[in-house]
Amino acid sequence: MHKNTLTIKGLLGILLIFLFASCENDQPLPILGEKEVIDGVEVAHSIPDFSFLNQDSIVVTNEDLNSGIYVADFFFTHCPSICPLVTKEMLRIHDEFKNENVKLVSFTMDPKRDTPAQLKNYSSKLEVEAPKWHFLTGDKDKLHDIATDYFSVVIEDGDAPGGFNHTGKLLLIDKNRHIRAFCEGTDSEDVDDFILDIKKLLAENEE
Amino acid sequence: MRNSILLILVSITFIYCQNNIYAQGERLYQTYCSNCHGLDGNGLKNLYPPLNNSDYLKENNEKFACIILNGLEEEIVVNGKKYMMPMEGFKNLTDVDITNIINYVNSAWDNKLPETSIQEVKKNLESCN
Ligand code: HEC
Repeated sequence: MHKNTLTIKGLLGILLIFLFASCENDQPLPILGEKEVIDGVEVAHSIPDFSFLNQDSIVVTNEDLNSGIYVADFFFTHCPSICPLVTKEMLRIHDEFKNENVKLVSFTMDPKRDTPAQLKNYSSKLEVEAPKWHFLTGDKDKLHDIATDYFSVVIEDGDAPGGFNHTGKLLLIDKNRHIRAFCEGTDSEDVDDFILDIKKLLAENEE
Repeated sequence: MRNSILLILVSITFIYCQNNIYAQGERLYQTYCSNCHGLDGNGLKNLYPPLNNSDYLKENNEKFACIILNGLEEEIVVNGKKYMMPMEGFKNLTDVDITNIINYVNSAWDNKLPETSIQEVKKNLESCN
């Protein structure tokens, strides 16, 4: 009798642990963005083709990034306002996922000043390298257009600090070009949650 | 009894004021400087130099006001590391703001640099190049 209650308690305990574990990991990350209707079929938002130069003057396209997952942000090296904070958080993600199949991609909004050479200078001062962390530059309109696909807003504005008004979001992109999570790159607690999202997406890829 | 309560109140206020002696400067620092130099004053890698324990700042403290007002764009060496990235000046800050920031930074974190005065800041600003 006594032994029975113990086993029941034990079983209940194990059940609880399982319940907790499944709560933690409940749902896969959603696919974010407006669905488009193409030929009467709903298609999830995805990052379109692009081709830009990185800090080593090597062409980088979507294909080069889709072998794993990546985190994207928009910045410029002369940015006097929020970019240094966002870069610091990107660096934290870089260090956290050093040995994982996670890349980082920083698109400049200011290609006029951010040539590949300038981006090389910046990235080496940050002590990071391609292909782990690409800093991309190219045609200004194309860079500003692709920002919209990454839910980021860039507006050229002579009165704004450094000449651009922009958001400081970090975005998580999966192997199929879908945006799966984002956060404010200036808010380090928000980035803590985002790091958990990255771990979740990595686990999904391993299944 | 009365006296001891008064004494405690006075000392609490005193300690409180001591901690917040450069509250104004701290707020300005967090608005204008900490994005690059960090809330802890330690900078970021080789991009943004530290203001905490900076030998450069110690040796060039009389230039501090000019650096804030006009920025800095030359190769400098801070604690043995080279830095070369333009820092833009803050033309919108008043002499009082600059004095408050200097006094905050000079005594923040591990820094024990001398306190400055508005007169001294004004004098230093006249000799910026
Ligand atoms: C946009 C980023 C940025 C902001 C904001 C910024 N700085 Fe700087 N600061 C720099 C960079 C970069 C240098 C190195 C300049 C060089 O290489 O010539 C520097 C250099 C300095 C130096 C001299 C080097 C040292 O570390 O002792 C001081 C002092 C300084 N900054 C103080 C301030 C203060 C005070 C503020 C706020 C009023 C401020 N900075 C805001 C980027 C910034």
